[in-house]
Amino acid sequence: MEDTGIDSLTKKIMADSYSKLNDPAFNDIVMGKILQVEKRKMTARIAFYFFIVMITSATVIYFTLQNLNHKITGMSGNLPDIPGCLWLNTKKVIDWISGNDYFIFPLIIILVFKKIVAIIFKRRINFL
Amino acid sequence: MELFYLNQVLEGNTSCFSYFIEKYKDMAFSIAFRITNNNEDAEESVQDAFLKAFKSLKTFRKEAKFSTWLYKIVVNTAITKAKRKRNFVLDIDVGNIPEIAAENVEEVYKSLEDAGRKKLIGDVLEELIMEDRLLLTLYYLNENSIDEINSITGIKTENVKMKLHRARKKLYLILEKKLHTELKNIL
Repeated sequence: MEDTGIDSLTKKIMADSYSKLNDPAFNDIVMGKILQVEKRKMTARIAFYFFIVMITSATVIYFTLQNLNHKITGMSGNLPDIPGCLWLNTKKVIDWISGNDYFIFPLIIILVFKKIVAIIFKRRINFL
Repeated sequence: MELFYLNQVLEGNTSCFSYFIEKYKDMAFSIAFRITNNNEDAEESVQDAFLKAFKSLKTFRKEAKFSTWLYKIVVNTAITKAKRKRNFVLDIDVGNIPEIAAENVEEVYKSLEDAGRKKLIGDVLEELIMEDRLLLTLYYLNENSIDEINSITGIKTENVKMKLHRARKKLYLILEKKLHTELKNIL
């Protein structure tokens, strides 16, 4: 659209309508809200890692108790002592999480499902 | 400069986002106010829009203009807020009304004092429908191009031109009426 006389007058009229935001605390309010969002995100992340650590610990303890039981009942074979068992079971759980298809498969399903929901609702989903 | 702050925020330096708030808050408020027609709602909309922009900053394509992207969020947020309040104004039909010559209005308009002009234009804009107010603000105040208006509002380019023309016609129609009354009052 070319700039005609009426265009420049309209520009002037609209410039007269311009009103600034009269809130000196506006920046602080928005930054405060943003920090809250960040804090919530961090809390969710910590909760997630805490949950993973808890599950891992519980599994390790479960396996170790099982080993201990086998030792007591004389079914242990060549099982090491408790610290050795703890280390072996931790390694077992880590191997299981990082390499086992039964863990990776549901993770892929969750990620695909997340993507489908995001496409349907046209919005990003932040689990973490 | 903008890209530097953008990268800083993306790298986790949250406080750098205040640069964008400081730079765009007034224009964002102007746009939101033209949609909501209410100071409090406009301010809330702008706050929410900045928050949404921060949350989805990762999705922003750096080759695009940040202002256009932000104003799109502002427009959507303010429209959602305005729809909840349902403050509707009846639209004026300007189909057969000829274009008003700028000179008819210009002289009287310019003779008014600053405060009087501000109040008058505020009253005139209040009588327009939300879409007209928004288009006039984006094109004449914010000086967005037709393509940018298309990106911000989602209205097709051809329609933007037509709607802008009509909105301007309505603006002058109401302004002429108001100035006529103003003149009568002065005389």
